[in-house]
Amino acid sequence: MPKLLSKPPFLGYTHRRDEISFNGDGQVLGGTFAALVERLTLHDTAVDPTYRDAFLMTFREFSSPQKLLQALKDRFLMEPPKVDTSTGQVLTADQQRLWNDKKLEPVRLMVINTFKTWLEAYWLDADNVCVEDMKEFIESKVFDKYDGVRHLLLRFIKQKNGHLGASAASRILLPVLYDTPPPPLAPPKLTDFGLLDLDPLEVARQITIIEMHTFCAIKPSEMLHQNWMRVGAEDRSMNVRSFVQFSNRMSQWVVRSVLDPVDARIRARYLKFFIKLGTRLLELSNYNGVMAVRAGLNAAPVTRMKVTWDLLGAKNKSAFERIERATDSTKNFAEYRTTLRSLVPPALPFLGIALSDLTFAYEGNPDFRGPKDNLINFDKYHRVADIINGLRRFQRPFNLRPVPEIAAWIEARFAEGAEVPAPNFNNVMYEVSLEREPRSQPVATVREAGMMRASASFGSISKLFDKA
Amino acid sequence: MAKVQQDPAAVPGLEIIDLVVVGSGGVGKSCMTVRFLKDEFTNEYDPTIEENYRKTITVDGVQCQVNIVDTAGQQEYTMLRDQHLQSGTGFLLVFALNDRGSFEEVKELRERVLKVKDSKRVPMIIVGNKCDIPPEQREVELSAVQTYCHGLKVPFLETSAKTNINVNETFHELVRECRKKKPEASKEKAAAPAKGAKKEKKSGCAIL
Repeated sequence: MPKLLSKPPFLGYTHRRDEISFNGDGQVLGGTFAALVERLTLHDTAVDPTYRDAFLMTFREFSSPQKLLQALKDRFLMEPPKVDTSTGQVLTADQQRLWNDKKLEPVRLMVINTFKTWLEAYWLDADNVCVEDMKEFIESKVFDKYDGVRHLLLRFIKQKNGHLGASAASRILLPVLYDTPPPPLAPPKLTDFGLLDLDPLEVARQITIIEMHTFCAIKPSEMLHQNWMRVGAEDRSMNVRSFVQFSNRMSQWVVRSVLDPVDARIRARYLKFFIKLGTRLLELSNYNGVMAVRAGLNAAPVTRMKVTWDLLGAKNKSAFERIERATDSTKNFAEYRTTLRSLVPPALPFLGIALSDLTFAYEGNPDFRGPKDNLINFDKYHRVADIINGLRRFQRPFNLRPVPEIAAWIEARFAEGAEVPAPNFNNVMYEVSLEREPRSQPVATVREAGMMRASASFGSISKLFDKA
Repeated sequence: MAKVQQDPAAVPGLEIIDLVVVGSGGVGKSCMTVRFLKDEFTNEYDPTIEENYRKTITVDGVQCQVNIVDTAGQQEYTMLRDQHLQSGTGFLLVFALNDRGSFEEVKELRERVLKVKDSKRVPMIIVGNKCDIPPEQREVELSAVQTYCHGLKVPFLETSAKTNINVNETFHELVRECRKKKPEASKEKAAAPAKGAKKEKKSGCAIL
């Protein structure tokens, strides 16, 4: 906490004490915008990087790029106080010099640092509204003294202007020094194969590579302001959307594959395959993938097929239970959250939980706080930034080798029936499920009935979708 | 991995009820959940901790712990829906009174719940949220909802999560529905004095 008493008042903070509040750990809970910006550019304390990063990631939620730029300019250009309030006397030349050295100069360096971090790591397309203004300021006379850093900042700005279309602030992937990736487990012939010819581990790897590619492209801005649920999400949260869509397609693929065979024994072989796939994804720490496989196996059309499930041995059933436990939703996903906290990348978290957490962080915390309700509730935005950073920590690739033939095959399977929206999909599949295993009938009849009808109407599921 | 199976905070013998809150986006369901779970006197809400999704309440003189699963924000994960529904005993189906589509969605959701639970009778309650809106903005006719709910013997409440109308009542009513489903388990509890069985009407919102 700041020690104000040992300093003359003119070296103190600009904001009043009731303009900012902290928790027991000294973390900012709330503040007026001016006080929050002062916190970002303190003259006597190094800025807390967690605070700075949370601020630059989220400030558009409670302010605007123009206002931030103005506030930073104001800090840079601040004037010394006219009088020393402790004595009532006009500031002496010595005091003025002291103020210059101890306050103005450090603040200016902090402002420059903030510009740099903003431009380098947190700049969004939306911030381009103030890029000209910022450029003008940096090129102006007041900046002459900082000529070295001026060129650096101007170079950043030039980059922003040159790439108006492409958003910055996406994760810069650091080169990772890995060992050689494990050799792929490809089937003998890469030209003609079916799912059951593939090793579940290799399928898990290829899925993971594809998923991680999209996951790494997700920008913080896609998750702010509940953008992924709003109108225009296809553009604003493009990567979140396609990441989630991939999961949905994976789940649908699981359901379709299991339901397609008319013979319960073959259906059981697919069930086993997907339980193995789930297990391999879990071993790779691809929780988003595990969740998608689990969702497919837990879809009502699949779960109700008792005949098929009964064909699984105890080993497979316990493997499925292991998958369920690792992703269990009880106690607010306590088990999963504990695992995730200690998880070392590479790993792929389940995005859905983060999206829910963000929703409740927004919904459960008011925008303002304080006795007069006039302080921006920065605690809220801190939580939002924490959740987003919890995901960004995993935005680095797996050490796996793509097998283009298998990857292309998987994507083609996922795309089948992709035009069917999910609620319809489940309803259509439920009908198929009832065909495969009619309600409460002995096993033998189920099989016969299934085969008969299949030859008559449900030759293949893909035909079914043509009707849907 | 050695995991503690028992919840250290669990009170022995305390009835535990798992509730799932569902509804399409924008109907205010997460607001409803937060309103029910959040302590009015705290400013902060940490969505990542377990404590913020359970609450011990007393319904008809009998205590129970209510666990809430609300997957708000995950609507796009459409294929996860069945799985989420599986985890619940009782279901809160929320629509917004100013959004006709969201009521149609509730009908769909009800069908899904029955399919997933593979049962004809599942404890649930239908909630028309945003009853604080001016009458001219109402898109869903009360009589239509009442006819629908009455025919299915599903209780219906109008709520306003925003202005805190009928929120607690909704969860209490759902707990009652869950208890009805398993009479053998709550027989002795039913003998307990039915305190507060008569609900006070807080507003002009309709209660069926």
